[in-house]
Order: sequence, then C-alpha cells, then structure tokens
Amino acid sequence: MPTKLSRRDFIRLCAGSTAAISLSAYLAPFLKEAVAAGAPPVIWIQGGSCTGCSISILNTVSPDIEKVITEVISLRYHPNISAAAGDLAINEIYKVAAENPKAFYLVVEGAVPTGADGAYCVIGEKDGHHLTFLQAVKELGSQAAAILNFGTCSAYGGLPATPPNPTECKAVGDIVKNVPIVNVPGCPPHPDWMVGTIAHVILYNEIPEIDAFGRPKMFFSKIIHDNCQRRQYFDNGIFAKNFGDEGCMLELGCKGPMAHCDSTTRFWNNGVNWCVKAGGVCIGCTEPQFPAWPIYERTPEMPIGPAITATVDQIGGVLGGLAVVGIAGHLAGNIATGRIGSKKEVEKEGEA
Amino acid sequence: MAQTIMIDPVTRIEGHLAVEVEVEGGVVVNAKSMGMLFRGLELIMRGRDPRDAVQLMQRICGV
Repeated sequence: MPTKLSRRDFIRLCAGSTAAISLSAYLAPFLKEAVAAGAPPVIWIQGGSCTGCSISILNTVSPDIEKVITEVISLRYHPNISAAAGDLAINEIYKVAAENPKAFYLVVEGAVPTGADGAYCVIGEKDGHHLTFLQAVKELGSQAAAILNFGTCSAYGGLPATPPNPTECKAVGDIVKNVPIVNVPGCPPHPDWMVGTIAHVILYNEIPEIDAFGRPKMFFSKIIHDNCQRRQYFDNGIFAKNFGDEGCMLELGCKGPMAHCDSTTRFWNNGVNWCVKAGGVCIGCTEPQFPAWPIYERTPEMPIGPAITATVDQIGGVLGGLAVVGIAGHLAGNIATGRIGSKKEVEKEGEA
Repeated sequence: MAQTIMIDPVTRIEGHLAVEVEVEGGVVVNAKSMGMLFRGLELIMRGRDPRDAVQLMQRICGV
C-alpha cells in the first residue's frame, strides 16, 4: 500500500470513481494513516435539516460507516451519533473549537433560520440560555479552518428557504463570511461526495478546487443531460409525454440540462441505480434553484452557459432544424458539434 | 425542593429535541419535551402544484 496519495491521483480517483469502485474503501487506508498522524478534527452540526444528508452518508458501504467515523474521519461531534447529550455535547463542540482555532472543519447540515433571532432552530443550551443554530454557525463557523456545507439546505437554503421562506432561512455562506466554504449540495448528497470532500481536507488540509457555486469540481463538473442514458432520445427528438414512456423526460420537468453532478456514472445505493434510470425526472437537487422551481413542469428557461439562457422551445427549434437562436455553452457545444447540426445541413440540402 | 434537569440537545434522534425534567426526592414530578425546530413546510407547500408535494413533503424527515 502506498503511503502517500498524490492530489492528482486523488482528484482522478474521486472524479472517475464509478459504481464498480467504492471510493471510501479505496481512500480508507490513506485516511486512517492521516488521522493517526493527527488530522484536523471535524464537527458536524445540524440546523434546519431533515437529517437526510446524515442518513445518506450512512450509505457508505465499504468500509462500513462505523469504521469511517471512528477511523477514517476524526469526527468529534455528530448529533445523531454522539453518545454525549445536553451540556456534555455542547461543551465538547466548543472545547474542540477552542482547542483547534482555525484548525478544525465544520460540517453544516441544514439551512440557518434567521427569523425571530434564530429562535426557529435551537440546537442546545449554553450557559443557561438557548443556543440558536444561527448563533452556533456564527461562532463556530468563524473559528473553523473551513466550512463544509453538506446538502442543498446549508449550501443554498434548499427546502426551508423556499418562498415564502416562513422562517427566513439562509445559506451558511450568507451568515459567515471570510471563511473558506465548500458546498456539497444534493438532496441528499451522494455519500462519496461527502466522504471525498472530508477526505480531501483531511489528507491535504485545504479545500478542494470549487466551481462558481462553491461545489468541488471533482464531483460537480458534469451535467446530467450530457451523460444521461436517455440522451439519445433527446438528440433524436423523442420526448416522453407520460412517466413510463420511452423518450427524453424534458417535457415532464426533467432538470437534467441544468443539473451538475456525476450521478449518471456514480449511481446511488452502492452503485445500484440513479434517478433517471429509475424512471424519474432529474429534480436538479444540486442546484441553488432547488426546490423553488416547479418540479414536474417543463422548465421554460434553462441556463446553458454563463449568463445565457434559452427556452426549451428554442432548443426544440434547433432539434427540428428550424432555427438556431443564440445558443451557447454546454448544450450548444453538443448541438453544434453533434448530430443535430449535421441533421440541419441535410435538411438545408433537401430544401435546396 | 424540586430540581430541574435540562437535557438539550437530546442526541441520537432525528431533529432537535430538548427534555426538561423536574425531580423531587428522587422522583420525577414533571417532565416536558420540546421540539426545537420549525420550518413551516406547510406554508411553503401552499399554492404549489400538488405533484410537488411528493418531492417536498418527503423531506420533512430524511430518516
């Protein structure tokens, strides 16, 4: 077993890991060594969440989650796992933070309710007073080396921040400034995305390379639509009208063209399946707009490049070889270089 | 003289729970439990496409 994993190999492993390879099983020996050598501690706190992200990380199959927690990551507090409750738990969190200034990593699950001074979410009692999640995120977040937002709620606000946003929920990045933040969105995120992100900070003591939305590029640089098993239907202009039909599910509300993640190749539940392959639409759960957008409505507009949007009708137009209307970016790349372009030429020839 | 014991947070459960117990002479004389999180998901659901309920309401609890 090699004792050092180069960052290049690490990124390649994370980005390339498919259903056949369990990411955490491969990383475990390296992490175990790093933890034994004194890796930075990790504190996991939950706010306006459903605990789904924690449950998802429990789906880390090999090695089992018990080993991941005790040997692979130096997790010092987790509300669903820690035996300590009450004062003991809160004191432990603040003790770890005080003993490791700017040297621990804070995992945040759940949005931060800011309405009523944060009273909508109280995570414990400190010095005889309610400790709101808002206060905890501010205090602990500002002391952390970096904040890892696990799940769309902590990353972008997610479900609790959906209009009318009754509790005035905000993303962690809107509460804590000047601290490096990694967003690992998803509702829930894939266990590999979470383990891989924690692994990166433990092995290299810095955050992975991130995209414009704060997401690690090693997991979130792919677009669902580009790698979808139903992509050929789209290219051929075959669209499903009902669930269960053959065809691209764009008309049924699929957010694939807007959603960034590697579910198409990584698969869920230990490599069993993923959303579209199971017959459902992509709900775009890794995107900041989730779940405010209508989930089962055909999305009228889709961003297909930096600051450029096109309507599905426009794309449909391209498909039919009728018009190319200012389309650039990912989709356009495929359309311009793919079979659709040649189809158009053929039709032109036909017209001539 | 009753002694009040506050356990907040209660860990190893889903969500945010606090328990306040009053003990008198080794006997529990009063106890309260408190849910410490409110998200107002019903208010978020109001006015939306009924089909969205499938996706939104399952996220009340992820356990």
